[in-house]
Amino acid sequence: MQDRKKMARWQDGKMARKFFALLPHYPLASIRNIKQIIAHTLMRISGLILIGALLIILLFIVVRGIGAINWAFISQFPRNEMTKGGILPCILGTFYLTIGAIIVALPLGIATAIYLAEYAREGRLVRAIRLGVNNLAGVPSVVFGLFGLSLFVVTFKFGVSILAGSLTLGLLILPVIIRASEEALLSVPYSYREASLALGATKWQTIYKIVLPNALPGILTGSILSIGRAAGETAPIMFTAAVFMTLKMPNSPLSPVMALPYHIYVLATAGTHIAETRPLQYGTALVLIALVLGINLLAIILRNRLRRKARG
Amino acid sequence: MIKNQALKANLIQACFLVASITAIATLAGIAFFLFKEAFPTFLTPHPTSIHALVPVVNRDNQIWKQSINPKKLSEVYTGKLTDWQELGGAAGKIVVISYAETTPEGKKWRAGLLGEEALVADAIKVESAREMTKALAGNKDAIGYLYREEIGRLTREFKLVKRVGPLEFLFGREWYPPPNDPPSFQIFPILFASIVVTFFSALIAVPLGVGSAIYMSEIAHPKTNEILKPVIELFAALPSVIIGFFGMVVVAPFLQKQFDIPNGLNLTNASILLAFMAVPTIASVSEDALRAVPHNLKEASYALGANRWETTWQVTVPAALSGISSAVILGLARSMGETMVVLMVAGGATMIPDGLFDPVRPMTAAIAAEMGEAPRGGMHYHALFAIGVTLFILTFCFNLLADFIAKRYREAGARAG
Repeated sequence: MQDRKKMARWQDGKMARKFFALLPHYPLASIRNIKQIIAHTLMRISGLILIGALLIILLFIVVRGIGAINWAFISQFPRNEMTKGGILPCILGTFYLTIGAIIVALPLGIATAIYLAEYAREGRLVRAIRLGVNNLAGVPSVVFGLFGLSLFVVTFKFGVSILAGSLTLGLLILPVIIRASEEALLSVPYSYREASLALGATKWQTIYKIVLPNALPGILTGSILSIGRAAGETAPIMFTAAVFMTLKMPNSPLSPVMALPYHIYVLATAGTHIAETRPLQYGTALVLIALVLGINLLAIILRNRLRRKARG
Repeated sequence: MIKNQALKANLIQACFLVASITAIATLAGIAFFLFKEAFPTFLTPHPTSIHALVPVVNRDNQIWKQSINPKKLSEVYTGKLTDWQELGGAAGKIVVISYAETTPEGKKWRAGLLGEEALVADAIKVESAREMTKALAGNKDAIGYLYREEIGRLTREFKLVKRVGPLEFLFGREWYPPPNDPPSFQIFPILFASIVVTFFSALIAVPLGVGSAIYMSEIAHPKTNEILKPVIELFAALPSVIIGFFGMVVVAPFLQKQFDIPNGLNLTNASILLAFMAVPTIASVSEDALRAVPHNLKEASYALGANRWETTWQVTVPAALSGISSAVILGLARSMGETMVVLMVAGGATMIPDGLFDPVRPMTAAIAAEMGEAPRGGMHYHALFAIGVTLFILTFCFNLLADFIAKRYREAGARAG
């Protein structure tokens, strides 16, 4: 009796084992493959959510904002306590601030990257500097705003001005430019430098004629991307450069300005006419998006073109 | 000629050295200036009160020109300090006047100042503000307490001031900036709001970011990647004020309608939007980590009969785990430091939230919203800088941690390869 039971159980086990061993050969029925299908679908969905979210945000702003955009909107001053009129001073303000940030950050950033990548000897100091630069790239932008307020606005007495805002934005993108440029310089193969030096070129000639041209796509892309970031940032200019409203054009680096991102924030949150100015808000948002994404697109196109050139 | 060349080379190198020193000195200056502006929060005593009650002395007692801190005051009231000389005034025995323990004022005084300690035995007990004023006016050496608006011609406020310790600043619950009187700067509700918002945004951002990273590196066709990668880059480039604006005009009304809540600007709204700010960081860094996993590991797994998903889940992801963790930490740092989104959609109430739909005010929002009203060089200004320092230290730690983990990962990856 006992033996027969044991025998039966053994046979059952054998059957089951046979069944499960065969399952993978029938792809749709296999539990392992079903698991794979479910998992892959989930991963695909998370990718789709990202695409969907970006599309929804962009479409929403474009559809609502396109009606507000016309020549007058871009070329006029705000009127009637900012409930009517255009956003010309904001566009100009953002333009000045971004140009200022480039003047501050680009030469300094690229020079630092060249020093770190080409001249400095790898050691504790360079490693510490690199760690510091990397960490500062992750420091919140509002903290840069605080710093700009304390140093440029209060200590240097620049006041709330284009100068203070440009310096703050410049410092904000400085670590990003250093990091991107250094990466680009380090990715130039070492053999290029050796070949140039072997031909009798000096170190500077090698850097200027060989390393920089090869690193240019990377440096340019990184710089342009960080310029896009500077144009869209709000928190650092809130205390250092931007004001609600100015009625005249900025006439010196020490005058305060209006700026696109800050204008959106102000219209959407402060004041008594929030509902009335909705079209203006959508319009301003659309202009800002077009500007920032345009800069990014430029970077991507430039990168591809220079890459092709380098290959050809 | 050769000499000239050497000179030129040295000059060029010197120029670059100067540039890099300038850059790094400026960046180091950020930390210095933040701390410099934050320290007065802890060094300067600032006015306080005990449940709105302030110490009061006789008009003729010149001690009112000075100030007293809560510890000294409690020593006066428990009888450990008995002479005005010990507080820096003219000699004379301190006459302690207190409300009776049965009055609300007396209860507040016990709860806020004395705790378990006994009131000095020879204290004069009074029942009302009028009696208190009368007793104070009648005795030059008397000390009592009143609400500030009850102080009349016959009495003077004896300023109660205290210093905030860093621990009290971080973990105290009373953030009452001016025009509250007395102001109080304790940031726990703000710190807590930042942590909660970051945590909930991570709940959304981590699966979404890591999921799409796995999709891009392991599953998707290269052509799909040509769409998905720019999408993620553009997401990272989208100005945060636009996302905040979207949250105000779309997500807030949606939440309000769906969950039937009075205000759509709340913790949930901020968490959802912050998640989308963190996803690009998480996705792109994780993808790099996944792609860096050596191919022979995967091939070994396939050779053992594992299918694609089993290989991804049991070989590739564990091998890239430290890179993915570092991506997640960087994403968290990004959420925590994001300003405009939380400023526009988190609701802005400085309180510890009870539920998912309560408005909150995280650190970045507090700085951005209140800096405009804070007079430069005032207590509030310094306290906001102290919040900035807290934020700076937190994100700095996150970044260091991410760096550390990523470095270990690189070593592990090299060994596995």
